[in-house]
Amino acid sequence: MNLTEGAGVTDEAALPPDLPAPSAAVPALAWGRAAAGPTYEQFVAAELPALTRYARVLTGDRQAAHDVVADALVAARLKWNRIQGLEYPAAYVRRIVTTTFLAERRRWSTRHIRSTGFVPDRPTPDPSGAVDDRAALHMLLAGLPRQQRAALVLRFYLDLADDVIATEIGCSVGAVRGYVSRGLAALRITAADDSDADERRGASRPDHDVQQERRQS
Amino acid sequence: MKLSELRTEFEQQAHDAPDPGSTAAAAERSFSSRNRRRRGVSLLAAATAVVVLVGGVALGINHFRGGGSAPAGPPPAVGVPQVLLPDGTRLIRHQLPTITSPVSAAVPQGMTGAQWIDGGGRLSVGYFAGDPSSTGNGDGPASSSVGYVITASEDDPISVDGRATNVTTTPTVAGGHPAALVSAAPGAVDAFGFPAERRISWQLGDGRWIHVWAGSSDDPTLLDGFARGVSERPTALVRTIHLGVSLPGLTEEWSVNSTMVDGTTQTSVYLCPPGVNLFAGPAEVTDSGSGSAAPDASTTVSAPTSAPPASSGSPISRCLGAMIAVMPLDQVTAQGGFAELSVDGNTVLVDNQQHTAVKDLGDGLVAIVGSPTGTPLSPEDLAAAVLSVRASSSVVAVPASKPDPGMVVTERATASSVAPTASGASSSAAVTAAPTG
Repeated sequence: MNLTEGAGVTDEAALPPDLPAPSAAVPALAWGRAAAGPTYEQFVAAELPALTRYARVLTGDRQAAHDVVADALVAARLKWNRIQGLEYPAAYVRRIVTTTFLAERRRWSTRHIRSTGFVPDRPTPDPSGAVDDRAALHMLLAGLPRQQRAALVLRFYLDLADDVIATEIGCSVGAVRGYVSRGLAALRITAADDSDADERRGASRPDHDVQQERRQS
Repeated sequence: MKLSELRTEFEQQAHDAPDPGSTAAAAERSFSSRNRRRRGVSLLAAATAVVVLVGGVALGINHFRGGGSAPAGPPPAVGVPQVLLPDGTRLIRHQLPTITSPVSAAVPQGMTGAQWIDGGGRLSVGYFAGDPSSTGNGDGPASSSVGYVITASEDDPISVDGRATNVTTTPTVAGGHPAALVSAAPGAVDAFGFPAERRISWQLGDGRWIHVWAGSSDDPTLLDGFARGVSERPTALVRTIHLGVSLPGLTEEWSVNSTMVDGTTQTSVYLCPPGVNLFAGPAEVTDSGSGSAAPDASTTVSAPTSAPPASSGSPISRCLGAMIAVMPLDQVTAQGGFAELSVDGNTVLVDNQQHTAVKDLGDGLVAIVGSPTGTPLSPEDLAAAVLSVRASSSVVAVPASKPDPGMVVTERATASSVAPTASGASSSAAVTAAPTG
């Protein structure tokens, strides 16, 4: 990936720093804003937990998240000299994670299909229904096309605006809305449930507060 | 379903994220591996110290060059050890990653022994057949063997008696691929010591190169037949040894996985800092002074007790090493320096001066751990480390039936020495090592 492909990534308005704040050991001033930027090691120390959480939600699979983040880190490290000069290296690396996820369908099919030799237990209904609902949601999520899943995760996990999501996954804003709409429909979630949908569908906003909460979670 | 449930689901999944430390370590390994591949030939050129690597790398050469024995059956996976770590330990829990070969091979009938070696950007996989009654010293019936080596570069150094040798390349076809038949002088071996008199090489779809070889055999069609049966289908390789602990910063792995362990062949794993090349440095194992990089049938390897810690100047000395070897425990204790340590009901032998710990696994097998000389571990840590070593249940211990009179007896803790064969080992038939889990 060429840095020029990360159009918008260096634009603070278009792509707010949504990943965790730097650790205390890394002065905020130096974090992504100073000319030198963080070292790769500083970046990993500060941002990796959030990146792995994001990848876990994005992929829906722990091992897949491990693989995709590891691949993304290698890609990032290879051109760290350039990435560290960006305003928000974390956003750029997050985008690498996203695009790696979107591009890795074939590799994953070979990596992760394993014959275990075990027959799964027969499921029994959960009297409360809560477990069944979650299992159903989990299954429906796993069945979503990758773009739809990525759009939902960026929207409802990272609370990004549509135009930012469009930049992230490389499509138009209209396509993002389509992905989100179809994704929610597939999950049997009505748009009316999205109480703050209108707010997010507007122009991009920094979402600093929301991101900060995510960092601390 | 409500949107809040989706958000909750995302949050719950986020809590199940992979460990950042292991993810970073995996990235580091991948990055280093990529760098190694880039270094290519220059890296491999240092391979004269092969035997060095561990006793293990001197590995089953005997089995591929006319001796040895063959355990049967597909090797089951090794479980992840969970040992108690002492308070204030420097050790960290560690799970060795899955190593995948980019190809799968149709193994000729009867070749039930398997061995693979991964490290330094090379992956070697070999299969062998042999008579369990053979000595492993070259005087038994000839065994046949086949295998392949995956390298980043088309050029793969071949040597005879430790000296680089010329090769002759002839275009050929293997399994529909354009390939090259690479012929070298008799006795030629590759950097890991595998036979290389005749190899068929071609480039894989991922850009790497495969070099298919066949060892001593009366069947001239063995090489061609094996090459035809190689297909580009990734195969996860099963580990025969597992080390459940590591130290921070040891991100490079070198391992020898063998379904057979005897006086000259171990299964071993080394965790090293980035950039350490276990093939670099002076040859540390000699075969009676010839200095050959390619161990022939008379070559033996470092004594198990000396191999993991190695000499302070060797690359191995920077690594945390573990191996499973055939070694009578009394042969270990006879060397002195070891003190018994009881940990959680387990007795281990610890030599704090040599940074080595030994655990009896039964059936003539011992597990040995050596710590990096620059990061000496406490006796308790050494004990925990050796207790975290696990062997696959597929590992078969084959005691050597004859000592080699030409051997030079080693001095403990000098990796540059040559060990005696496991002459003190039981001469009974092969026994299967019980998993230690």
